[in-house]
Amino acid sequence: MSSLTLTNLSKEFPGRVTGVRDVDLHLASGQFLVLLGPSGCGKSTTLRLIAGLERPSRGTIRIGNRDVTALPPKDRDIAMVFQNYALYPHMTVFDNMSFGLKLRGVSKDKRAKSVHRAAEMLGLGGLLHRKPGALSGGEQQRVALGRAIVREPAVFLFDEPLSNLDAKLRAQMRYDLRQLQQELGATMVYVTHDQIEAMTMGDQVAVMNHGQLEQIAPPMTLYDQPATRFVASFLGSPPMNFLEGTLERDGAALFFVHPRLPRIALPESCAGGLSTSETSAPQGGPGEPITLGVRPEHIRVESRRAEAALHGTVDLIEPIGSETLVHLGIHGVRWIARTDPHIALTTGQDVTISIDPARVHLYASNASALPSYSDTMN
Amino acid sequence: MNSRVRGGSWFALALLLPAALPFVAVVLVPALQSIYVSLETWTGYTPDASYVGLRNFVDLAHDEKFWRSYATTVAYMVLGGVAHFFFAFCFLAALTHPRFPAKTVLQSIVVVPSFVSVVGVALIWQRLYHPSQGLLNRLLDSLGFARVSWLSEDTGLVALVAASVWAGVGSQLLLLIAGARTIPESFYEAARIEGASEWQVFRYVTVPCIHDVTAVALALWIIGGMQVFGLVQALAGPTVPEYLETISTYQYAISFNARDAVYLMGKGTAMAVVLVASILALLSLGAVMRRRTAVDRDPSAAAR
Repeated sequence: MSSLTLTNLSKEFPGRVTGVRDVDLHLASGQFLVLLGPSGCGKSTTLRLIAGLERPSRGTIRIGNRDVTALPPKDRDIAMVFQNYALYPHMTVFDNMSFGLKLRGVSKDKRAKSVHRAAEMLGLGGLLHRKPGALSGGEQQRVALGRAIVREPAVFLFDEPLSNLDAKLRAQMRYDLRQLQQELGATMVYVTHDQIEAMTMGDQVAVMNHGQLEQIAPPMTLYDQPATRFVASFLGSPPMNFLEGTLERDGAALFFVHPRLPRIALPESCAGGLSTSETSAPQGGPGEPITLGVRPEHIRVESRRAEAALHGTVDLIEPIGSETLVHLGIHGVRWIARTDPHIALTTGQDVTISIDPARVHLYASNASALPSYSDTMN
Repeated sequence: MNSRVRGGSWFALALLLPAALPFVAVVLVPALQSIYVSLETWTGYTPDASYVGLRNFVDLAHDEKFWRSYATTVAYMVLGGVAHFFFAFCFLAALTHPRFPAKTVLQSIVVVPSFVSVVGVALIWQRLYHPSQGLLNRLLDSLGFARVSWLSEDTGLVALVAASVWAGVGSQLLLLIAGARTIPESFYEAARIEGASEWQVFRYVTVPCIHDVTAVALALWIIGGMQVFGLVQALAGPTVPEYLETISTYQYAISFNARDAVYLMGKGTAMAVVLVASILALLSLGAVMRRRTAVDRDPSAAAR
């Protein structure tokens, strides 16, 4: 195992808009990094750059203290698990798993030893003489994992390895993979578009969009303090609710103003932070267009009417069991609130909506979280 | 339930009829007829024919010329097969190599000759092989070597195979390329990450992954190679020398060639029957060997 450092890593594809642009990240040895983002965001390209399957246009890749940027894949000391597993149909499970060792001239005895140890770890003992075609999807997945393990690489790379499995097996493999990573103390980079995988597996999650790294942080930090509007909207299900408006100052207090809604008071701490950024406009100073974001669980829905409060109508009620999702219409804007499962509401009802100002997220029109505001969350 | 099944099978038969009728008329009946003709004396031009039992086959068994043509055909098929597939795999290795330059040019050079008709191929190679005016002998002249009589008994078969490779390796290659295109890119990438050199990628990934396509290409070659006629007839004909005579050219000569003014349609048809039987035997042998290796490679395949 080794650390992994990407510096200014960029990849341009001629004739295509997105590649990877100036990705900087450092992953400590033995950590699990998830690259998360929608299709085409550059996460797989980043992984392929680390693997050496693509040549970067700029930037460097270091594994441990070795600069591997110019090295071919086989000299990088990495192993990769592919989405389609890439198991060779003409080889047995044993041959597939020992392929890399054989190519590297490892003796037959040593090969058998490594394969049997990995097979035991993965519960593949009885399958070593089968062909991949005679295995289930989950078993093939584990063989692909086994092929990576036997080489004891410095860094493991995973390209959406669970996406071909059914939901139940996927949950099991998430757990198994995480256990294995901790057992081996391995450094792993894992690409996925599934936020559940990212949240449950990663020590660090790097969210990418349009080829750029939006934010890298531990999962809960990412959830609680999304640095950009994109991160805020991508993580969380149902997603964060947004409202476009402007900032307004009234004495020492700061408000979020929407033309058709009562103004929303923002916490004191926010005002202090923003007044400094006022001088360095346009970073979210008063009068500037701004986006307010609030997670569904930070919205309270009440049936009693209160004047000078935020009002809306109940469009749809979705009971899930442990909670109920209430779809609200607020002057043409659609919000979703996560409420108590036994809340007494009916469709079409007028309700009072209150939000916890301390859990509000603000994003300036340039789509980054206001730095001062993020600080208040720590 | 029963009547539904019966109705279903009648319906299936009715659907088969439009395809089955022409098949019976133009394939099955002539095939059975030819077996019958092989048991007759018949010139093919006169109505008189008499049943002679297996005499045509006994004749063939005692015909030294036939056995020689048989041996030449098998030699051509084996030597040609080795040469065709050796070159086809060499070209495939180049075309699947990620850094091989000018892939399109190479592919065109190799594939275009397979568009040339067999007589065209023979004309080109006759010129190359011409004893005094041919390019090859003029090349030998200029280098100070003695001339070679290319289509003579010593080198004739090799010369034939060379022309056949030039004309035919392209179609072999196209089949192999089509097979290689179905290999997922991740198979190559996984091998490169695992530590394979480009040669090892070809040896351990490309070749085994197109095993099925190779078997089909090989079967097609065996069929075509055993039946070889046009190239030999056009390159070494019109009277093919005995050392280059193949089953088909000999069959042609005695069936309806006026070469010796003999028309032995019965004997010629008997040769056709022997040829078909030989091809079937070879393909069956291949199939049995394939099943053996498949079981050897995957014991669970035996149960299937």
